[in-house]
Amino acid sequence: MNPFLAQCRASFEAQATLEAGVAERGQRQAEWTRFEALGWPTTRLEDWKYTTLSGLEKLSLQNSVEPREEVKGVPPSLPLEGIPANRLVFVDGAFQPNQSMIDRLPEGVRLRFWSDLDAQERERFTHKMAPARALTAFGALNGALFTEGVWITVDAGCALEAPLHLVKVSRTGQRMSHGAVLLELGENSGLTLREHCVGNTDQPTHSNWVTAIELAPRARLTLVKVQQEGLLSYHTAALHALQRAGSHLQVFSFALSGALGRNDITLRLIEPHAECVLKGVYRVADRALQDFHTSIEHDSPHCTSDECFKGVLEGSGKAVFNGRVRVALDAQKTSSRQSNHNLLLSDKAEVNTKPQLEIFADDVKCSHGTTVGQLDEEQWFYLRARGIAADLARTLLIQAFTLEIAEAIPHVGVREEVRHLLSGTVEENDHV
Amino acid sequence: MNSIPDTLEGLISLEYRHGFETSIESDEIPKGLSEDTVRLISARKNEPEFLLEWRLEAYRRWLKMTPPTWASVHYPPIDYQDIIYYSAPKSQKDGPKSLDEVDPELLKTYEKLGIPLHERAILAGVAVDAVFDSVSVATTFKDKLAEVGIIFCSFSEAVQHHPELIKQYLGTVVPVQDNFYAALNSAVFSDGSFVYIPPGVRCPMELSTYFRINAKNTGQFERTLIIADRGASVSYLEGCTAPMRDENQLHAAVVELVALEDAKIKYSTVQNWYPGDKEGRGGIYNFVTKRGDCRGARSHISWTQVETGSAITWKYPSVILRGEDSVGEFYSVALTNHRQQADTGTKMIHVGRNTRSTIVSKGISAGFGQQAYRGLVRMARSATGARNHTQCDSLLLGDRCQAHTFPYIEVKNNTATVEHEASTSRIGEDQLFFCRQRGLSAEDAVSMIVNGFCKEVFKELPMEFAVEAQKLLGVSLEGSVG
Repeated sequence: MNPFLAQCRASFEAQATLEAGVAERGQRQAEWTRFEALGWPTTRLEDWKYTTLSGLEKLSLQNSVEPREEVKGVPPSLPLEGIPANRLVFVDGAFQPNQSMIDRLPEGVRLRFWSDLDAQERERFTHKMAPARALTAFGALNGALFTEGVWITVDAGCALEAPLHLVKVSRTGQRMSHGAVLLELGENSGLTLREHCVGNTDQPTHSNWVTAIELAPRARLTLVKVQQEGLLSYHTAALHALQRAGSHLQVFSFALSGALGRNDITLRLIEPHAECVLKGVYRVADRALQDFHTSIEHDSPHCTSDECFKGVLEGSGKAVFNGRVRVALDAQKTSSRQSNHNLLLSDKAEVNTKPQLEIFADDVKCSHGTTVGQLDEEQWFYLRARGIAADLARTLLIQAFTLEIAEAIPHVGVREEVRHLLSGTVEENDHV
Repeated sequence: MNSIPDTLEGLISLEYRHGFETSIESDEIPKGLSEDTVRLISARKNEPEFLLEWRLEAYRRWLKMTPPTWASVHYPPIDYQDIIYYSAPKSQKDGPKSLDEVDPELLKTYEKLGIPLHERAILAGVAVDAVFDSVSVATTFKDKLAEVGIIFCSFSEAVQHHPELIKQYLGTVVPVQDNFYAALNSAVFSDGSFVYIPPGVRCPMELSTYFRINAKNTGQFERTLIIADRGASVSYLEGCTAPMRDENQLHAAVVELVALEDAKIKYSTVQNWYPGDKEGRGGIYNFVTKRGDCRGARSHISWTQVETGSAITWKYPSVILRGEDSVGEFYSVALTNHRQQADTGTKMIHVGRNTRSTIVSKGISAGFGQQAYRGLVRMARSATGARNHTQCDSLLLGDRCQAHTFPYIEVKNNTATVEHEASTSRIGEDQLFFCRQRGLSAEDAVSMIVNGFCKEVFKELPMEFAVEAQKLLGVSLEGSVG
């Protein structure tokens, strides 16, 4: 057993003794058994073919077991000040009531926490989290080890104008954090959720969150996630969404830093006329790796999906993109678009991409496209010919490449903020 | 597809056109596979010691391997002990020296298939090395080819007369342990074609082999080896038809192409083996390993295939682009109808600088047909300035068919450019309406649209094949619209 697993086991055993109810212990035990049965992901598995976890294996990380373990004074470098209201703060997986600001949420929005739930509600919560946890072995690990979970429900007809911020902080090194988010949107409701994954420690951390989403008919959700953890951070995340008739889901995922990131995203369109948009940017620094495994499942007719991921790779950075689109039998009139574009800025960078279409219906329009290349020489020449310095021209072109994704974010405030972040990373990297 | 009249329904039940069986006495060895079988095959063919050793090595490795399960095809497990591994027509013992000596029954078979050997050879200038089951029985134009130094003969002849070439090149592109079926083939391969084009020679005619599976329960294990020496060029045609039968037949061929400096090999296939009946019974299992090796600088290997037959196709003609500025091409039309399954695609492995590859794959899926494009484009770290363009389109006819795409793209060099695009759709109602409005019948309209869809690939085929391919597609499709 590798050090990481050994520590996970120790943590699991510690947690099992803490847990009050017999039922919860049983649930955690079941997930742990499943995790052990699935085995540690190795490159021999198709889903992990290009992503090696050898770095994570060697780490011995502590898990937080106390769901409300208060952390005093979140470091000022974290962007909490910029987030005025409607924020939920988790530090190393534990909820921070004092840092959070949730008193100004409208009545239609309810927040419940795992640690406050009764046995019956816990069972429902676990049941609803199950498909998300089933996506990878890390999902099972989350089910066994998670510290706290938040259950966000938006009542029918309630639409929130201001975004809700979910801040996940990796504050201390040598820690892992396992948390769960359940989002339920009622009919005709609307929400923008901005997820901040931040950390400023220069020691290794592992963040392993699982998110489950259920959208009732005609609900609209925009989820904007930005990963900005430390250089030595490991980030694994699973997202599973169920969309009912006419619902509209937009997921934006920006992986901007970290040693290794792995996102498993599955969006299921289970009733007619549901729409989903899945967009993302990965900026991979030297020796880092970002891996996106996405799956859009058209289980019902008349649904549309639009997916686009863009990657910028530097140094010996490595990126993996596996985009699967499955159109089930009888999911007629499906329209699906998918694209993945990669910019290799260094001769040591590596991209492994696999846009995968599985189609079982005939009346469909599905397309995918992939490109891997360098900055366009003609564009470069255009800028240089107009007296723009080499590094600025380069910055401009990279910005233009990635900003296209941010432009699609509907909420103005969030869009501006992400634009700023994307521009920032380019400049910072140039000064290094 | 409501606009198609019901009369088309009748066409769906169209049976296999080439379903007949020629009864010729065959010389068979007992069923089953063991080291003895391998030794027996080798002995029958009077092979040199090195080849027997090579076969045994492959057999021993094969024993340790398991059949691949990753392909999206489904079939009952194959009993490898229930197959006859060698079958030669008895008449072969005397060895026909000209067409007149060939068994008239055989010639009739070819005639039924629409390929009268001599006529075709003379008119079209094609030399045909016809493989009837496992032993070549007629090779034409050999003398003419010999004049320019080209060796074009059956594999077993090559083993007897040119063992040094066999020893030098056999298994260098597809090693014995490459995969389960390649290992099986290496152990028990019966016969096939061998081509060697000497330096600087441009082959004066299109070379062609017609493969045909005839005797019952005979798995065919063809082995083809084509070597184009420096500056040589050759175009090779392979076509297949097989009689109707009830039991599934295994076909595990291996094709190896070697292109040295400035050489060019164009390999075209029209595959029309028995696909099974409407319920998918009795079709041929086609598990083929085809690979080309662009060894020299500026070499060029091109695969063109039209796949309409077989119950199951498992085939990935690949090119290893080792030489600088070498070029690999893959053009494919694959059609699955009724219960046919095809998992096919290509691999382009870019190793050399400024290597280029093009992939155009057109899949047509009808009825309950299942189709998957599985491709790999790999840009190694050394592949500076390499380029790839991939286009794979699928056309769906019928609401119970499937089309899947699994393109693997691995890029380790930042100067390499890779483009991949794919689309899946069915024939547009507006396109059909347009044609129907102008007085075309529904089936003509569909045929025209499908042919347009495949045109990019057909134009890569040699003349003789292009005509046959279009006809074949028409026949195979007619039954599927509804």
